[in-house]
Amino acid sequence: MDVLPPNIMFDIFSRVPVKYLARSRCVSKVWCNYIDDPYLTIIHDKRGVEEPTPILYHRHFSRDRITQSRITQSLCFHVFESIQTGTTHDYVLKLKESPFLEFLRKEPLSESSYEHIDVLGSFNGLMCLSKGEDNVVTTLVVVHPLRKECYELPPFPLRLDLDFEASGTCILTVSGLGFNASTNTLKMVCVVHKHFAPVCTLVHDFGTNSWREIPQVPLYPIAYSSVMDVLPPNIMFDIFSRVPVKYLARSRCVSKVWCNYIDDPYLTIIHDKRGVEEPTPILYHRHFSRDRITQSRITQSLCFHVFESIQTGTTHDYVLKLKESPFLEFLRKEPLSESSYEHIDVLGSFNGLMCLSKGEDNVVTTLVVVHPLRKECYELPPFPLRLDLDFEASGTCILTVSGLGFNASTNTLKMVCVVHKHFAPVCTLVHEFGTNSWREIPQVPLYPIGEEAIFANGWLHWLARYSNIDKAIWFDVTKEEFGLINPPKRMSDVRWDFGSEHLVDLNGEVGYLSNRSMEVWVLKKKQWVPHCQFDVKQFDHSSRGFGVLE
Amino acid sequence: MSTSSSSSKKIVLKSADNETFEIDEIVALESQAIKNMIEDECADNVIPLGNIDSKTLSKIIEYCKKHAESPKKDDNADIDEKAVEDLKSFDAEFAKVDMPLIQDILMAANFLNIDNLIGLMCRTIADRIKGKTPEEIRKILNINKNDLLSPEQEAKAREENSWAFD
Repeated sequence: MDVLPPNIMFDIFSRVPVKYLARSRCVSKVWCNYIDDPYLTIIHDKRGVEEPTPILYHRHFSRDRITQSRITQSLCFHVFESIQTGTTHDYVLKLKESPFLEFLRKEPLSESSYEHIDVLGSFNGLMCLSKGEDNVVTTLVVVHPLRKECYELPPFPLRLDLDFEASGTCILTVSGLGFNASTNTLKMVCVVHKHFAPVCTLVHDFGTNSWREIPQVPLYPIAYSSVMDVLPPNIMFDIFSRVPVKYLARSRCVSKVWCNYIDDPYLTIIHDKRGVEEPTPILYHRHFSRDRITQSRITQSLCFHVFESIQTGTTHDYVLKLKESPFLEFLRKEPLSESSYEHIDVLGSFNGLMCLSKGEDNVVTTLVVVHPLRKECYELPPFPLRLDLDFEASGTCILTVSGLGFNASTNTLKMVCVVHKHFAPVCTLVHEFGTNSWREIPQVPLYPIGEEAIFANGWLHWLARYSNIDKAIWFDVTKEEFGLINPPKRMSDVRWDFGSEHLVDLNGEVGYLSNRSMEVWVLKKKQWVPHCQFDVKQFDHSSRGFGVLE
Repeated sequence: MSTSSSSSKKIVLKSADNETFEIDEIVALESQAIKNMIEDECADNVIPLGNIDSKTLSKIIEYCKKHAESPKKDDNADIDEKAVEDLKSFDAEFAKVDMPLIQDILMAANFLNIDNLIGLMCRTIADRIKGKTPEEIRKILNINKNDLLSPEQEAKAREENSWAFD
């Protein structure tokens, strides 16, 4: 055999099944070199002499027997035998042995850390795996399950995150294993993505101990196999904004990327603008529980009920029917003392979120934002000032106005509170969701303001509440500045009363409504533009606080 | 159909696989990107579209032709009800294609900046998500198996959104 040229030797060996090749490694040094040559792996697999060996792999978690805490995660490989049954094309895969290879980390995990083992790809019987801990890829490994071989790649020169959670970090989305026939070496290629765009390409030549960056990156982000993964974020948001919230909630468990898109606050905003939702009427009311024996009042809670609209006989008649028992109860945990008096007040709502305040004995204790439909609750940090609920002691601080807005540039929700004292605004406090504090900003509005805020186009809007000033006040959520808008020009000469005007939400635009003249204006470029006028005779003048539906 | 008096000017588009398509300028103007090129006078006789293949491009031209012919909504107060219905049913038929082609059309429409077409394709995908279970969605959209949530994460996600699985 020794006189045969290498091409013939490779040809021969490429026709021998791998099991006998492995045995043949100890025939001679020359044979051993041939059999270990990576080139053989390539041509061998092309030849397809092998009976295919089905290998099943699965993730396995070991638990500590006593504490039941998760210790390690491993990837187990099982060989299956295919056994032909009666008919020709029927195979039954039967487990041949206990797992023959376990790929696991040696050090036990701390209870809080979370470990991943992911399969990045496979080539010619080799599998590329990544191990990660707490969302960071720690090691890349190439295994040959059939040969029970494991090749650890050198440490990656960049920090690679596994998740899109921190969207500014580098994500390892794509890697590939290839064979360079001219140098007879395997190469591993990793394309690193950031913000969904390829930013650098790193290559490792097997046998060396480093990665090197090459000048080129692919023109487009490289997909995995999915149709959806190559679509740019603006398109993904567009698609998700057209899916009703119920199916969005279901789709959270489709994949990690989907979960991140669906949890993105930006989606909430554009989703609500789209109005794809069947409106879900929700009724909320206060509920007092009483102690059964003493009949003393113990707790107050806010109950939310979902209603179904059921169409009755005629076309435009709907009956709202209670669908279920209250699905969300918002209450304080500690019972009240007999003498104390508790409030739960609704301060405002925005995009399906409701802002509530809880108070006890005339002092606001907590501010909470709830999303009744999603049954989510977000508690705001403690307010830095003592806030009184009543005007009784007029020298104390009163929280009259708050608004929830969305800062599109930072993708965060903001809560703005204007504190009044002696009926004048004295300070403005801002809380950015996700932080744990309030901060005071230098500006306060020019006039005292009242009622709920309306959020539209990046601004919060209130109506000034000051004798005959019927101006509106705006607050730029991004720049954190206040400003004024002049009142609209009246279309009819009906006398206006103090308190008969309201700002309303007109499908994402701000409307100005006069209950007296039944006129509606809409805000366009800081100007009130006439929108419509209702026939005054049809309405009771005393009707207050009606909304306008588009 | 359309006022073709001034729009007899022709534009030639060239696909990635070097096929050329000669279309009326008014059809090409459906694409905001091409419109900008023409306005900035940086469109030569032939506009090369190196990332759109001929199959996708011919679908897109079919869409733009139909929409260029149809009367625009903001033109006049008296909108032809029949034309609106006609366009609706055209869009519905147009969207009856398989997922890989939808993706190609969407990428191309995004590149060419054709708002209506982006909207139509997004709505189509959204409609295919509605009412499906996560398993069905993974199959229809061929979601990468390496991107699935861990069993604990999935159980948690299902628990958090249990109301959506009624």
